[in-house]
Amino acid sequence: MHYKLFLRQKGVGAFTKVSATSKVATATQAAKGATGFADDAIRLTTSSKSLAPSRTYSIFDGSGQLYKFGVTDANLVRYGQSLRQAGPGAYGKYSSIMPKNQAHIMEKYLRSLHYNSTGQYALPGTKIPYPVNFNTGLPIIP
Amino acid sequence: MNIDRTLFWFKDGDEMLIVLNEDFFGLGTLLNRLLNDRYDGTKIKFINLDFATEKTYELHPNLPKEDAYYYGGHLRYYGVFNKEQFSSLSWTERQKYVWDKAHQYLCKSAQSIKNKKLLEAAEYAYKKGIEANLNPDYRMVETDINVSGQQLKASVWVNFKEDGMYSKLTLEKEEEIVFEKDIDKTKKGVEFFLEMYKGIKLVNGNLVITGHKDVDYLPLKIPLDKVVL
Repeated sequence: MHYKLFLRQKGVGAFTKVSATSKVATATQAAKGATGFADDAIRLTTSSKSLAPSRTYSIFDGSGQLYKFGVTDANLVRYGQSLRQAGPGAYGKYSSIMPKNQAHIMEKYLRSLHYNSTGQYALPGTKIPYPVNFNTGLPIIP
Repeated sequence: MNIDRTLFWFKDGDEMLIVLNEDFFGLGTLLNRLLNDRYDGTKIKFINLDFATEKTYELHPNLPKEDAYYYGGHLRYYGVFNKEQFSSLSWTERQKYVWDKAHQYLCKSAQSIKNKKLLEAAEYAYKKGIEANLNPDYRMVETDINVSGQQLKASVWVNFKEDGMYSKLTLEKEEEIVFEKDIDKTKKGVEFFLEMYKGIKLVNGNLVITGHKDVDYLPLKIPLDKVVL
């Protein structure tokens, strides 16, 4: 929606969009056909199909600033590497064990919640997933 | 790219100075691009160059002040800056200050981790940036097209301005811009904006800008008959 508004404001009358994205269509349908809270909810998605036992984690650097969110194996090997990458004094928190695809969705949720709470887009130790808008499920481009 | 990202991080005590981080996002992007022009060493995922006040290091004595840290592709330099002094500088002076400091930090980091190729790339990037007047604008995607027998270069640029980042389409003929049009705008620091445009194609007489599936106006079709050449 943001883009369409911008293009109108800038008067790009000759420019047209070729096709709608499926995610936008899904969000619109959910809002129109709402029968309850569950129907209204935008469900975050991931391309991961893996069910491997995993955890979501957050790492903070030696000054207590958020360094990254991530997904690790259940035995925390990846988590341990990330902790070392974040430098002296780094510490972290991790979730209980869940299927890997759910851990990725949780990672996206935490990343988005952090952006929506702080306004800080970039993080020192992570790029993807980008924060998404909870109303549309699409990447935020403020 | 052998270096995924380079960014500057400003802090005062425990406070992250988000506005400064965003103001210098363009300069970090420029530095990363120039480093990648030359660097062909071990892959580095993140270069984080800290500009933190003395107060930060007093509160967190565990941080290695004025020193580098490297592990698993993550490089960080823990630099110091004087916030009051920095605030008194003009925008141009601030850019030069950050560029000079970043060069020093990269050189010290490269020596510390014994990465000669990073040292060479840092020297190259410093000089190239100065030659370009630290202008961070660049072509995110570009292609050569032939329209009615005319050879043109079509590009989607990112322009870093005081109030945000803008994307713009240009058509150039023999290095002269013959058409330009604003496409979109976002706030500074939004990394996705730099990666969402994927290409430009000529399809049935239309210019089509392709990109990330989650951007609702892409692909964007621009009829060439609307473009006055």
